[in-house]
Amino acid sequence: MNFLRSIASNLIKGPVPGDAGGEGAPSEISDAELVDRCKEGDYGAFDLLVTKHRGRVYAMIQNMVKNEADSWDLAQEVFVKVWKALPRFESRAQFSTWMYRITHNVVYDWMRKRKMDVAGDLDDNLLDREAIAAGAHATPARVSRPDEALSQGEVRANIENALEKLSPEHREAILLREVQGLEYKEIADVMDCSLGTVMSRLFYARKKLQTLLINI
Amino acid sequence: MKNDRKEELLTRWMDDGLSENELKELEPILASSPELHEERARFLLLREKLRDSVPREVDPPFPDYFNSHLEKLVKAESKVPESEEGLGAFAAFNRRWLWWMAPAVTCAVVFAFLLGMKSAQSGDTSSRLVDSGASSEVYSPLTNVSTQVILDRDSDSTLLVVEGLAPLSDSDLALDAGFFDGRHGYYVNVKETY
Repeated sequence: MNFLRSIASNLIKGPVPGDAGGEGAPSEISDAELVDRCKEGDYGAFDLLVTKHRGRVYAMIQNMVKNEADSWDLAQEVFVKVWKALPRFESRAQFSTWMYRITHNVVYDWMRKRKMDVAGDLDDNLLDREAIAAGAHATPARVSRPDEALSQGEVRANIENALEKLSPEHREAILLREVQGLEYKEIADVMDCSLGTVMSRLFYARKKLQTLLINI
Repeated sequence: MKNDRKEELLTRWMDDGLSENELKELEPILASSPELHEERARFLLLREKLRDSVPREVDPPFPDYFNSHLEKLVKAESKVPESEEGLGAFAAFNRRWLWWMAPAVTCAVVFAFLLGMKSAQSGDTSSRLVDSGASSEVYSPLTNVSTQVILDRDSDSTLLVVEGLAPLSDSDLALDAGFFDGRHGYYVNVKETY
């Protein structure tokens, strides 16, 4: 049974489709069909749905929380919530957008809880490099030769550092738009805000990223 | 032009998502700030690097375990709402019937009590009375004393009920033979009793 499920999982995973929802590829069972089967209590269909989407959910969470173990647990929590809320899911909406919305809620709940847990113990802002005076001896000095080309690994590290410096809202807007490829309206649905707020967040997040990554 | 509108147009311009009319609307801004073209070109380059560096999809560590562990969680979670719903329904039922059930239970208790009293008064011992001791004799010189012998075969015992006596000790009671040397003597013929 597990062997068959494994084969089915690999078949269903396949290549990443071009659209954000992962729907419409002819060789795959559509999300809508899997959702319908889940609503009838078919856990096998839910397992396929998880296998199909866990990569995107995990990547999104990991880029937000920057911790592998927490990301794993939070991704589990997302799918538990998805399973519980599936009977209320209206098929008019796109499953992937709805799933990102649940991911958003889980991540923000975790952030709020973590903020309360660390309150009084340690102020993370004290360790923020930007908060240290530019001329202080503690500031790491990095002098790059103008002709120095950064390796791909360095570029990635710089981009990840820059993303970390964005506010969670700006980071999420950038990730949903530039990495996950969601439309503006979908981002507004996921982040539970107006379209205008999405445009504003994208505008300032892009500007900040460009400033932070001016050397690459 | 309002700032919000400007931000929206510039954001969509970066994404190549403006219509002809919107592009015309943005032209004065682009004309007054030529550096925006350079900014856009740099952003498009940055976007490419961002997409190369930040994967859209990352399988979680131990993906098979991810699914099997999730299945356990889901099954555990699925049981909780059911039992909670059950408890909730039971609690709602209790709340609904509480005001009716309390007087009903009180009436039932009173009724049972009265029934018990009535049963005791009607000498319900007859059900346990196998033989009224017809073959036994109880003699007392006092006329105001009434006696009753109750034989219970099941428990292999005899109950002698004597009413109208002054309190007496065990030594006042003589069994089997003669009169006792007390002030009041009682003789019980135990022949054919057991």
